[in-house]
Amino acid sequence: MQKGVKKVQPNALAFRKEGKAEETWRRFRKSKLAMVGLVTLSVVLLFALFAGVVTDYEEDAITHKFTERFLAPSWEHPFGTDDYGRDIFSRVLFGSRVSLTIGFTATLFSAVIASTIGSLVAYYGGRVDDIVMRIMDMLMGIPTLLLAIAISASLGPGVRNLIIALTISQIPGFTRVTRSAILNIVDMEYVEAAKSYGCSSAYIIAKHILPNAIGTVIVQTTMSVATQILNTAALSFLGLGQQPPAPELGSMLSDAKSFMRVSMYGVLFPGLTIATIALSLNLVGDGLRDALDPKLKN
Amino acid sequence: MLKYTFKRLLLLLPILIGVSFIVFGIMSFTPGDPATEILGPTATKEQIAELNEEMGMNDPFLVRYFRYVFHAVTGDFGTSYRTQKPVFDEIFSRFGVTFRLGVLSICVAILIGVPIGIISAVKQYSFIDFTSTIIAMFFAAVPQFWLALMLVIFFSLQLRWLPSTFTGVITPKHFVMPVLTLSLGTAASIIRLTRSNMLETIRQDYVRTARAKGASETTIIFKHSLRNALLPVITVIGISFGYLMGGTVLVESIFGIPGLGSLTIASIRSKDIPQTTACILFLAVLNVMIMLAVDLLYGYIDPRVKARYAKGGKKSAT
Repeated sequence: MQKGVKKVQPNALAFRKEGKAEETWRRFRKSKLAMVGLVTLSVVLLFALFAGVVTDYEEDAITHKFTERFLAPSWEHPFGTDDYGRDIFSRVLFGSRVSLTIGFTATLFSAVIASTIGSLVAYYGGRVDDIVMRIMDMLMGIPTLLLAIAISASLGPGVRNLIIALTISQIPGFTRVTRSAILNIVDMEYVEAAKSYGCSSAYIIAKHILPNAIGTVIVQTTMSVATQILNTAALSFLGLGQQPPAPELGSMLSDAKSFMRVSMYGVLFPGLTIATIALSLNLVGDGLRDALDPKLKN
Repeated sequence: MLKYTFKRLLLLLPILIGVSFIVFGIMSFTPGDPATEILGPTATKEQIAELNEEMGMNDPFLVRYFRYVFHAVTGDFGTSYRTQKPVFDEIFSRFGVTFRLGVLSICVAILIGVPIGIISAVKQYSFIDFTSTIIAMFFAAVPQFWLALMLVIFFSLQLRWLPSTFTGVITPKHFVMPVLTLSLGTAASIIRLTRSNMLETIRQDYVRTARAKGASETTIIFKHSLRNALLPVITVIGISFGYLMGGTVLVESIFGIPGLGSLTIASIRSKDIPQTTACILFLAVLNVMIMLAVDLLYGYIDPRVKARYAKGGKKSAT
């Protein structure tokens, strides 16, 4: 009898969890804008993933063809060609691969580090909370982009340093958000009830606090990727990211800037691509927030 | 309230120490040294080593940091490695144009954002609401420096209406594109926030009461809803300032504006430690002061917040 009960419980939990994900998806699907964002994002991701299938890296994105400089968009070159006669479409595809990788990696790192710090200080509170948050305040005193520029310029150009700089600069803001989300949960009656039952801290954090805070973290992560991709572009624009000749959206813009009197396509398309990625991520983030927000539950 | 202000100003001290420590650390523990930058590529290894020794670069990090703090307390923040002038001379001579840029951008952002936000909320789900939401979302996702480049292409290269760089006699025309670049993103977030707050306050009981008492729609919107809806907008304006200061770095370099942003980036690139530390310290203090001003303004406008301070319960979840 006792055994039977134990066997049922995990199933019941799994069912409830799946139910929540399904419920979120059902509500997410209702928002047209969120779906537009999701579809656009998937298309961009697919193109970036299969960039090598659509175009040829060496041939289209790297090889200089001086007879084909500054061509206007055509069927052969959908986004035109740049100052070295390279196909902008191909460079945008390979470039967004780099930008997306940097944006996602930096966000993932800062999300993991920040939610760990945030949940620990929020749960234990007291002096540790005060000290950690004052340090975060100091870091937040420096404008995010400026902090990222200072770190990556000091470390020297390159993708790895760029990721380090973006991760560090994003941690303070992220920590504040996760901490405040968890603080709200820590005060809930069910946490108090769990404590009064004598549950251990680890059990309460794992079973009660994290599952309820994960929504906020997911939403913040999605929005963060958008910000990080914008920042990646900005830092690469300053020459701090991917080094030439490999394409990256921000550095493409900085190259094209010198030639914008001759041809605007080198500026137009990489920028539109960054905007499209950031916009779709924001739409998905908004949709997720609405879908996960318990206030909207009827 | 006075006590609170004083307390917050006291908090500036650890922030100053912390920020200077962080910046000093970033600049010191990373590759490259100032002597190489000052003497240029023609210098010999001995010359570089000598200058580094002379500047005390070979001392341990903490010794250098405390020497810096010790001098800073007496008002000496050091001289720039590049220009050999006291660092704050350069900052003050360049701050004017950046400050003007920042204030103008915030004003433009408010002038665009608040009215459109109100209209969107009052006419919810209308064509205007839909269009403004889409446009706001677009501008929130656009990279600032790209916007700057597109404005240059359109207004300077195609239409030839506006000058693309800060050269010659500076006229108000020079400010149009930089200000637009900086303000549109902020305007977008103000639109979205004003709209959602207006929608929330319009559904409040006191607004329903006002309506029941026969107040006109104008009174309801401006007197009862807007006042409350604008509170979080003030916070966003405070936060935007930091964002704008970060943005000026790129915008100033694109438009060739001789401001604080371009100074900061030039100093970072040439390992000019005193100048970089001073620039970032200056921006951080400015940032913190504006946050304080916003908090005080908040208390002044919203009696509920004031009451909470009066009780001394400062701890908040944010």
